[in-house]
Amino acid sequence: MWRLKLIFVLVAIALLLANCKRPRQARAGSASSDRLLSVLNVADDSAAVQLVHGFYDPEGNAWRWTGPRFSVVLAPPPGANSRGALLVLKVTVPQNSLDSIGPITLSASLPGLPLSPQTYAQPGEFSYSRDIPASSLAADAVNIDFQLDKTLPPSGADSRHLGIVVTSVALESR
Amino acid sequence: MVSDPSDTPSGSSPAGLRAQIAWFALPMLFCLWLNWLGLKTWFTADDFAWLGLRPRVHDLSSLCWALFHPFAQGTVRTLSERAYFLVFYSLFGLNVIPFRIAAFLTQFAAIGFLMAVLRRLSGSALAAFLAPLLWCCAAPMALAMGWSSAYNEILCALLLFAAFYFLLRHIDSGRRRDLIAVWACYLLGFGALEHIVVFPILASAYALLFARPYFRKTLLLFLPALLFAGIHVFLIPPSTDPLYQLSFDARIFDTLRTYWFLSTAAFRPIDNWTRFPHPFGLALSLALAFALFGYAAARAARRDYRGLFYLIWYFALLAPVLPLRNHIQDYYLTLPLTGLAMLGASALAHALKSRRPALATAAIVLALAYTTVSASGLRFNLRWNYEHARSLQSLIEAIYDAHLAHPGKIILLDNVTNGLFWAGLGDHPFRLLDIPGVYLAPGSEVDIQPHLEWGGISDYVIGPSQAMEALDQNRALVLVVGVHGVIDVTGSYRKVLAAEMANLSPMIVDLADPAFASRLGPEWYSIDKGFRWMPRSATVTLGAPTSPGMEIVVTGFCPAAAVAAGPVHLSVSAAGRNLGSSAITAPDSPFVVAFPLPPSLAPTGMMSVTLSLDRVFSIPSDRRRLGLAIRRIEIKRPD
Repeated sequence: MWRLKLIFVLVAIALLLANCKRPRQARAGSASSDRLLSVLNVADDSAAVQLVHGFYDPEGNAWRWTGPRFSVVLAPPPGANSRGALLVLKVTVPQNSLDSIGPITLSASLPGLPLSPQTYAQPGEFSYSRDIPASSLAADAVNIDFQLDKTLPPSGADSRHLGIVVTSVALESR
Repeated sequence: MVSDPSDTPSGSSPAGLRAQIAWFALPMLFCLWLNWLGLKTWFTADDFAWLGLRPRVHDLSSLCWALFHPFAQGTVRTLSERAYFLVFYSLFGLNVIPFRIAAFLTQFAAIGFLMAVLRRLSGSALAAFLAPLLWCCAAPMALAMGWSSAYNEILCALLLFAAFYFLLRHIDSGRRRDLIAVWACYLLGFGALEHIVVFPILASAYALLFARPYFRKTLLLFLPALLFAGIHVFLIPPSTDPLYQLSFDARIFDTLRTYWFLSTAAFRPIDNWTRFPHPFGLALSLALAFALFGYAAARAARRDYRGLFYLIWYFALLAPVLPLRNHIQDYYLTLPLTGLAMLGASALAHALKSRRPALATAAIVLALAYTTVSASGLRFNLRWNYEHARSLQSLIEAIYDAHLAHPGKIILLDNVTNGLFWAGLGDHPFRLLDIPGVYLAPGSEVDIQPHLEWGGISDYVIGPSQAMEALDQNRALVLVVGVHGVIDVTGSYRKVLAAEMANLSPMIVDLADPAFASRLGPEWYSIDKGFRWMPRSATVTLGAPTSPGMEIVVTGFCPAAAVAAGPVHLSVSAAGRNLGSSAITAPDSPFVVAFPLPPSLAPTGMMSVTLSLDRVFSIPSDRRRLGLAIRRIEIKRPD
């Protein structure tokens, strides 16, 4: 009798395990969007494709550290090709960065259009805002490069060069 | 040897049998309860390399190659890696549960032999009961219990304890079949993990301390170990991976200190092991050291050398990994920790039976402090491994779904982090699912450390021109990997890439894109893992600056070997003018250096730009003289 029980248990286990090697069926794919955003909350998954380079992984579901150079691609807002737009980069400058490396200067540029830099000597939240003329916003997508004059060097287990903390970047209508 | 048979469960009566089964089963159930997440943890990292063996086995010859060819730092773990993955993948595919069930059953068997060995050594059923509890709740056990590639650790533990158990039986009975079992388990151990070479040391140390007549017999066990060591030294090429370089100097003691702290739960899961532990961890570690070494010394003073033998067990099994100072891994403690578990359990059992309330209380407090802290760390590590593997599984399944929904299209992955890439993508899991053509979105590969020693990332690199061509022909799908899953961003990504490429013009050279090949001098090596290696000097052709004040920006990756002898200096000249030099210092790191173009430099059309280094290096098995890995050279405004 015990042999029958043993055989039953073994067969049940074998069937259970064999059933686990299942062919997968295709699931409905995620919705595809062709639309580029004008406003990026950098921690959002939907923003990631427009963060071209220079951003580290999102933290706190709200922000990302940048490296010394970082770039985004934004869609100009409606009417920007006639009225221009306002570039707004929302950043946080941490106290420990200033303590370690001193004031930090942020500059930006669009293709053929350097924007005036801004130096941050105090910790806190800031908006780097610059007017963008309509002539620079004729395309469907605009590449915007940012650069910092200095970054926190790697320390301990963190091998990153840390620039500033960015929460959002946008081209806003004027 | 002192033994106390009074507390040893006896199986002579039905009640005794039930007690004995419970005595064996409870530690196993405790192990199962504590490590439950490990039973469900999916594949990561090296697992995919081992899983990838099966599709390459077609006949006897390829089977022999898969089973016996040295891979991964020259190891040949035929049973614990090759056969384990070949058999289970053949039977169950990418269903991880059978792999994990086999690992847990192996661990249960190892626990059984550990208990039998310690009961025989200590004569205490209580000590034998406590030892696996201490072993199983050790934080460094998380990977062994939750990562299929670490199966070698627990299979080796099983074979090591089985061999030792039969050695004890042979010493007790003198039976030949027990000696045959010793040799069988020992020799099988060579197919599990190299640590089995320590077994002759343990056997001879035991014989020397407790069974002198058998000492000469144990010396024979050294022959296979020496043969195995000889094969490794003389026939298998040494690893070129700097992580696995052996260092025999005083820094071994730093490594030993780190392993001691890890063994005694001194580090929290978030701690950096290169530093000292936090005050409570340090205090716990020192208290455990005082208690364990004190117990062993006190017993030795009474000519009871069992505590000393458990310490030998710990240090002998730790010794093989001490020279690996660049690769300190907590799961390397899986085997050594059995020595401390036997010592700790013996000390605790001794204290409980001592009829000295103060001693018993102190021992209980210390044991509870250790088990609480260590089990908490274990659960944290198990949870981390589980979540990490689940993210990877979700990503791979999403890509598989996308492949089924869009057969024939190449897939570009954007926003893949370095951690996620090396958690599994680097070992090509998509080959197992017959998904051809998975790449990193052009440019995103610069966020991934190339790790040439692990095979690099070149299989995942595609140039922007190729990607754009595929997008234009509706042959590509772009998925962005986000925190909350995978999103199809094909349409928007095409616009992003177009905007990026509009910036390219003649002012940029992307070394990883074959489209730029005509702008490169003959010195450059071929595209390699998202870069091109440059020799001591190399040239490119770039568009001349369109306005004053522009600069040349060089982006690349500096391997550790390039700066092993100090900073390497990168000099740049354009149109025959020297633009200066920049020191690259950070090993294994990306770099970006900029060289201002002088206002007087005003050629028209295209100009030649030369990159020069003051030093190059070479690595074994590669005849090339390598400088830096360059990703991109561009002329732009300094903003």
